[in-house]
Amino acid sequence: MQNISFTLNDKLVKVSVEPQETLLDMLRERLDLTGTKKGCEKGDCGACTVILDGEAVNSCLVLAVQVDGKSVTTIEGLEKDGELDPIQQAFIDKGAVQCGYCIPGMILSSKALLDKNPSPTEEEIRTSISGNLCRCTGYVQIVDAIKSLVK
Amino acid sequence: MNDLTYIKPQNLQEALAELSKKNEATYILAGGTDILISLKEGNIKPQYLLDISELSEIKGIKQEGEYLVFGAATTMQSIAESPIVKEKLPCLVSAAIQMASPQIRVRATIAGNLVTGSPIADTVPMFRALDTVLEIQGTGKKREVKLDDFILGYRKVDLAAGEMVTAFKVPLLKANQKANFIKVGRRNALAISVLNMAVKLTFAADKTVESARVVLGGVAATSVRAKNLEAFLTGKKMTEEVVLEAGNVVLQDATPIGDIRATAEGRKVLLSSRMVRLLEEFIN
Amino acid sequence: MNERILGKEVKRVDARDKVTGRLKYAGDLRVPNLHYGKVLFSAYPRAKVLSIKTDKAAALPGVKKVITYKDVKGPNKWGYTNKDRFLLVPEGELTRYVGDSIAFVVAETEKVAQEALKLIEVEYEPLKAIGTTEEAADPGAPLIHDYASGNICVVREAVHGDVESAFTQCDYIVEEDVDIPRIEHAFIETESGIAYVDGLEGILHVYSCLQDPYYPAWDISHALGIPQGKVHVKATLLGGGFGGKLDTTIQAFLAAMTYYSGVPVKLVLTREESIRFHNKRHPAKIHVKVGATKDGKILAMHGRIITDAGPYHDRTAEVLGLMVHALSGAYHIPNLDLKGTAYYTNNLCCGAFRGFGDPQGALGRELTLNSLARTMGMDPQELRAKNFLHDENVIFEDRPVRLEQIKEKMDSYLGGPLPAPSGPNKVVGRGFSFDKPIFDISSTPSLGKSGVGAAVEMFQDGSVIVHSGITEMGQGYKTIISQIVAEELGVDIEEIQVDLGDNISAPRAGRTSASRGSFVGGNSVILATQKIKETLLKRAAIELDCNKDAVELGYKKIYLKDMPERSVPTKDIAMKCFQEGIKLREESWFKHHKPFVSGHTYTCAGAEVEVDTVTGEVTVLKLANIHDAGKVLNPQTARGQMYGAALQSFGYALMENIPCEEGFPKARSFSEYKIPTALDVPSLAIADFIENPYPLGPYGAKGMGEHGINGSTPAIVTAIGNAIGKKFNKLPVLQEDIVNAIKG
Ligand SMILES: Cc1cc2nc3c(=O)[nH]c(=O)nc-3n(C[C@H](O)[C@H](O)[C@H](O)COP(=O)(O)OP(=O)(O)OC[C@H]3O[C@@H](n4cnc5c(N)ncnc54)[C@H](O)[C@@H]3O)c2cc1C
Ligand code: FES
Ligand code: FES
Repeated sequence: MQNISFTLNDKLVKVSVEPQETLLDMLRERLDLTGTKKGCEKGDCGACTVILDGEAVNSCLVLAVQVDGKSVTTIEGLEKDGELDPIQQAFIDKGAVQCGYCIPGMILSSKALLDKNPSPTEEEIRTSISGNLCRCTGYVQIVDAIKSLVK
Repeated sequence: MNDLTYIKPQNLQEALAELSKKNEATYILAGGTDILISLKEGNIKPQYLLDISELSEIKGIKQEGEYLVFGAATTMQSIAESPIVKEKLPCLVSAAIQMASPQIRVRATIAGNLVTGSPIADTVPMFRALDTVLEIQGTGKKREVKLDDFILGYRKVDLAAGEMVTAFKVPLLKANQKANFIKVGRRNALAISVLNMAVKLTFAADKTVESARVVLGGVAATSVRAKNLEAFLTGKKMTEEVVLEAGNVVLQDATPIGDIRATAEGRKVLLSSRMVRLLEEFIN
Repeated sequence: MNERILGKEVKRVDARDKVTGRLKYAGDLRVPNLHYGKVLFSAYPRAKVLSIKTDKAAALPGVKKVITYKDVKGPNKWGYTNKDRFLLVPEGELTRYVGDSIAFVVAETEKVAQEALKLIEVEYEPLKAIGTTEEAADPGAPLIHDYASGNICVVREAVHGDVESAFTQCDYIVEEDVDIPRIEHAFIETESGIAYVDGLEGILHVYSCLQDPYYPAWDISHALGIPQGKVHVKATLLGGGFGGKLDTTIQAFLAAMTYYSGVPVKLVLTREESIRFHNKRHPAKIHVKVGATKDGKILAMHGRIITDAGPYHDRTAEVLGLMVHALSGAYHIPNLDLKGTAYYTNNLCCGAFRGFGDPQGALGRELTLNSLARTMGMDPQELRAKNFLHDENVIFEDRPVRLEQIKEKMDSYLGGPLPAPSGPNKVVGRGFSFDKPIFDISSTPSLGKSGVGAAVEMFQDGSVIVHSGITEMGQGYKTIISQIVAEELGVDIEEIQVDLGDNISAPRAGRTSASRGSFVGGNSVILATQKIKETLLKRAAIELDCNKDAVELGYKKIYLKDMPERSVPTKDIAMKCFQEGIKLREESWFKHHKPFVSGHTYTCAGAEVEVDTVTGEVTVLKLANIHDAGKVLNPQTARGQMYGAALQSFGYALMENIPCEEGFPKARSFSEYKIPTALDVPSLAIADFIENPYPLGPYGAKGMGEHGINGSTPAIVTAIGNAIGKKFNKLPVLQEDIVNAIKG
């Protein structure tokens, strides 16, 4: 076991992890943050997307030990004092959510985009979520939701 | 698997020292987008994982004389965003940005892409076509090898125990040179390539092709130089007819197999039609 | 009617929990002392299991129990239609596909369970697998089930008139062979769940992602030999279903794991396991011959379908039945001779998948009719218009709108001249398709779905709980039911609790499939709320000192019709009922009076594509679906259903396929099995509706979950063909196929 400490949703946390444990498993199994989803464990679906130091990554392809000293944002970290992040609200308002299984990953991928680029084109929006598979929506209302936030 | 140790060296020297100290079960971890899957599937049983992903000495892109030098741990995303690459070698941006997904591109490195030895690694054909030279370091020794010579066979590369790829030295394009890349996947993102292909042409003053480097991925056990096509193009003017004919000639350079992504026949059709598309841009 | 909430863009009631990550899906659940299960699937599609040795696995530290057939006390069989699958294949028996289960491991961690799997020693005698329908039909072929001679799973026919003589009167006859692949649901949530036996009543609880809680409960009770009353199955909110979680998946595994190990167990399939295990959409080889007179009247159709059911019957009879009927589809064809045959093979198992046979049938039909139109030199729209099925031909009590009406709406989106191509070597084309699926959205008596119940209760504080056996898989049922109850009982959506997919708390409701959820669930909930409303009105009339007929239930109050200012809050009446022992809990039983399918809907799909003539690359510029919805209960979720279905068809047309080679699937991951990403799908997706209320539907609504998928695939395939002046009869249409077609 190895001890690590990192910023998780704006709070410093200390965790003991196995060296081969993925960030995804640490979040879900050790910290019970199950908003981060598991769909393939191979980088193929994006359901496990979290933001690591400002970048959207597949948490199934990052080792827990690798986030030592870094900052991780999961879907649970977006709501602040009962106030939803504008992206979360936009997803609700535009009907972007169906089964919802891809949604945490979608929201974090689009958040990583909008944080860096507040005025993306449709192409940039679609690219930003191109690593996140959704089988329900055809992406139509998801793209609408992200577009509605373009400055 | 339980006795795995994760090591994160602070600098390149330390990394090389660790690499030479430890045994054969030491694996380099760069972006992890390939090796973590092998680890999970139990295909490799490392004792030590040496994380080089944040070693500043082998990250980043800088110009050194007639070369652009890429640190081996440079990610696809940094290539895609790099102003200097966009300006000097946009063909590499094209290769990097079509690879996988945004989440993978921020982690995946060029060395990782190369060292896996995969025949359809997306940045390899372009680096090869550009005549890239690799810098390889072990403790106390440093060597350079042409990328063409580095690839030995299916998932086999010229890397000894204790060695690490540290840089990619890419000659800048001269005024009379042009290069480009095409990827063929089954969808527009997250697509392991069915094929990929890269080309670099050097033109003589009379606009005939002085020399050609064409590299194909996905048509053989490794990426391969399309020697027949290169010979065919050399000395020719790039006309529509030549380009169309090139689409046929390139088939002599390919011995594709069939898999879930395409049949062998399908690959040939795609190779031929996409080569036409790739070379169309060179018609002058 | 002037509805307060229905027909409005009410935000989904489950959306907030989903965007915050708070919602627990099946794989997120936990209970104390939770252990982890793993399934040892058969290493071969067809092999004799000679011996199973578990000692080493059982001895691994952390392993609680290794379970084989020897542990199973009941009949050890499960399955839909026929209980013909072993829960655990015994020694001496044959495996039938790579999704058969040989042993279960229960361990303290998933990792230990995984390690233990590798220590189970199974000796197989591999046998040659039946890998194609041709091999299955070979007279010398071994039988996959003793009861199925010729390896025939089921035959379905639709015959009327005299096809042979009708063909002699035709001026034009065309024949087409359409080849359709097997495809995968690719829900992003794999099969998952937890199970435990409680210490109160000894009830076995299974919480899992599923589309029908009742059938798995039966499968569990049957396989393990325990009374159904001891089995509680509750559907969690699904991370996608699309038919792939319709029949029992891992629920019987979970039940056996916890029952025989004595500890709570979680089981989550990996993507690879999910792909090998669950039912797929049936592949089909369709031959259609169709004949018409020179003025475009279709006189006869002869159709043959061969499909590969995989090793178990499951839903094949139903799916094939629909596929056969879909061959004539939305057209009136006086002479029909249609027949479909499904064979057992050792390939992946096939079953329900959004559209349920109609997507395949629609492809066979629409592609052949386009070919007929081409041969005749007739506009394909005109050919269709001449043969549309109208009320004059068949009487539907649900009075579908006329197809012309739908076509007109389609033209407003995809009419007029074609847009100019975006560059050299580019061509543009359009394709259309019409469909009239016959999903059984009713509650007619076929297997386990006769009658649909619901229970509704109003509490003394005026809040309401609904128990419905229909499940929420993303389609928005929970929201629709909340809207209906809010409308019916004049309460706020926030005051309504909707408890779904529970075989014990909810009266039997059958499956959530066939686009029937809102129709049957909505109707049964309305029946129950109406009884409650009656009781409330009666009691309020006493309070308001008037006749019951003089009062009306409005938003949060009951008032005098001709003196609305005299009113009493509904919740006060609820309290009175509570205090006086008046029942405010009602159960309903919705049973359709007609013994057959209902809710016929017409749809039209249109696609506009651009094709690169050098590379064969296809860009779908527009994909539109017009749907005869009856009544749109929530426009936002309705559009969502149409978009989602239409864009699944995009994948069907252009990239999806899961072939099997001698029983082994050729795709094992989402890297090998590709579904469209946001960069692939058309950026202009259109969904629009025609509302013509269906008297039997809740507020006039018909089904809509599946319709978008049927027409869109042939529309895209046809558009590609039209763009380059060729036809495609094989899916998926790949770039190399297009290049070859252009060249050849
Ligand atoms: C979902 C998904 C999609 C993908 N799509 C694509 C795609 O479209 N195109 C494509 O080309 N690839 C794709 N890949 C494969 C992979 O992402 C790339 O090959 C990537 O570039 C690997 O780089 P990495 O830094 O992540 O390598 P790692 O996984 O860290 O390492 C890979 C191998 O290289 C070795 N290595 C790494 N760096 C060095 C070094 N400096 N010196 C010596 N050895 C080294 C490691 O020891 C290991 O054996 C995909 C992978 C996934 C999971
Ligand atoms: S679970 Fe990580 S990408 Fe699918
Ligand atoms: S909403 Fe179901 S997968 Fe995206």
